[in-house]
Amino acid sequence: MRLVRIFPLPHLQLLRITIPRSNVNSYKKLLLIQNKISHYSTETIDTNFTNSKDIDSINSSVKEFSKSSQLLEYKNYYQNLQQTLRDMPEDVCNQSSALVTLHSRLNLPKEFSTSLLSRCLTCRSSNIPSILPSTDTKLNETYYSKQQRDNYGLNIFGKNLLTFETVKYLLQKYPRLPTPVLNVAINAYISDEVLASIVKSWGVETENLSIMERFLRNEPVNVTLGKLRYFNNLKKVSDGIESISKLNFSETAAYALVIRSIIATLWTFDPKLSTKFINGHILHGRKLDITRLFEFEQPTRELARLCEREKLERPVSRLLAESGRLSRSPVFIVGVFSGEEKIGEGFGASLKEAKAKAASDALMKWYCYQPTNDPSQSVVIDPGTIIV
Amino acid sequence: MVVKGITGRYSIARNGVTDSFIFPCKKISIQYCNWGGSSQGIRNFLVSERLNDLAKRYKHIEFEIVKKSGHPVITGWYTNGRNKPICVRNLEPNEIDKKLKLLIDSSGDILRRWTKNDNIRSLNKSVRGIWSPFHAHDTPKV
Repeated sequence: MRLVRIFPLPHLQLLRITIPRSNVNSYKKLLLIQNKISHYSTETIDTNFTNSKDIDSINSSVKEFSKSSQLLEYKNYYQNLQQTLRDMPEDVCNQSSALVTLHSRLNLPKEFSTSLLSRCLTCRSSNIPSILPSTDTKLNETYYSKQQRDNYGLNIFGKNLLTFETVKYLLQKYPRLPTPVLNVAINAYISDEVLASIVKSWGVETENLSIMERFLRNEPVNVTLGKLRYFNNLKKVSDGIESISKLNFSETAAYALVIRSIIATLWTFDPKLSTKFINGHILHGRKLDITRLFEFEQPTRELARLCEREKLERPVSRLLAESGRLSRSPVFIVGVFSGEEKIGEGFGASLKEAKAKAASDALMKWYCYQPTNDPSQSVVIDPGTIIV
Repeated sequence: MVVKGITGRYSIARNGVTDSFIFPCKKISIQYCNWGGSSQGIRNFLVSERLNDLAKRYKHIEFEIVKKSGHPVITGWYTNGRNKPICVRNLEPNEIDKKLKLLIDSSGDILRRWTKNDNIRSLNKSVRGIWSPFHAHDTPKV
């Protein structure tokens, strides 16, 4: 078996001629043209050949095909696209309507150029292979340009900035938040799913068309600059996504990269800009009910330990009101008191339930304490977790 | 430690609470026919300066012009992923302007008929709290 590379387009590495060496007269050729024009239709042309004339005709048709004007045009389009994605020239970016409108929709500052915004929309996984020199005979080897601009480094920095701002915001607002709840709350603000939904709500779309399709539509190169590129668009959409998801990378993750890299880019102009952006779009701009993140296992016991540590009187539960004790739907209102002061209240269909709810309520009030903005108030320093 | 965090609960978007408001309409495509009589109004609209003025005024909206045979249609594309097509056959430029305004001002949501007592929707809890017969006698008297 011998594989002959006919022409050097890496994604058209599909024109293979297999020549069995055993019988020269009965050449059987398998011409695999994955596509002549349409990139999608995979056709296997199986032909029987009896003499060497046919081989010559095949060779000539192959030469014709590789020299055909459409292929050359496609080659030019491909190279142009690659050049644009590598350099991201400002004038081409400014012609991309999706990119320019996204820029003004986000109200980004003037020094944040559209070329930088397009860079934020480019993931490293979208890197398209370069065209090999024609002398290279290795079939499956492609090399990738390392000069392409992507959001890889920006994302790492943006992630750190975002985590810092979120932790700062949560701990300033709720200084007594226990660590497990703090971790869950951070996740509720900046997990990939949340960040992806934010970027989707900005109207950012993913690039789902293959390069061949774009070429056939005569689509200008600048259109793709305004879309999120996260897989190599040489393959079918499903194949591209599959090969990326094998690398533990998804559309959601790609969307999350965009917002993180925008934050990092804003920081390079002014750290205040990135803080404002984070607050506006992620922290103040979204609502999180922190009390819904708590789960108490032994609330009464935990409350007793807390009162002991804070040198308060031992908590006592007292029945405040009740209704229909012997009916099918009784209601009990229980208050938990430390000395004379009521520190929590709960209701329930049984005394036990109401007591547990009252203790949870008291604990919630302790944990979710919010200091006022009054500067005369001393800073709250959390003494740490309650050991039960 | 006995307190645990419940995973899988995420913060809820509330566009417009801070000054970083995202305009819901992201794109408007204007489809016209170069031959049909029903497109006369939209052809007049397109050759006038109106679209330029709109594009200058709404910089966050992408305007796309599509030439296709058939009745002219203007479609709004929204950040919630929905779109809203309006047929503008036989309409004058002024009327098309009104339809465009309608698309621009729309949130992209489905048209709903809100019932009379469903006017207030909020993520926040009621400030006064829910009335309870067990606490009714606790209300302070002025």
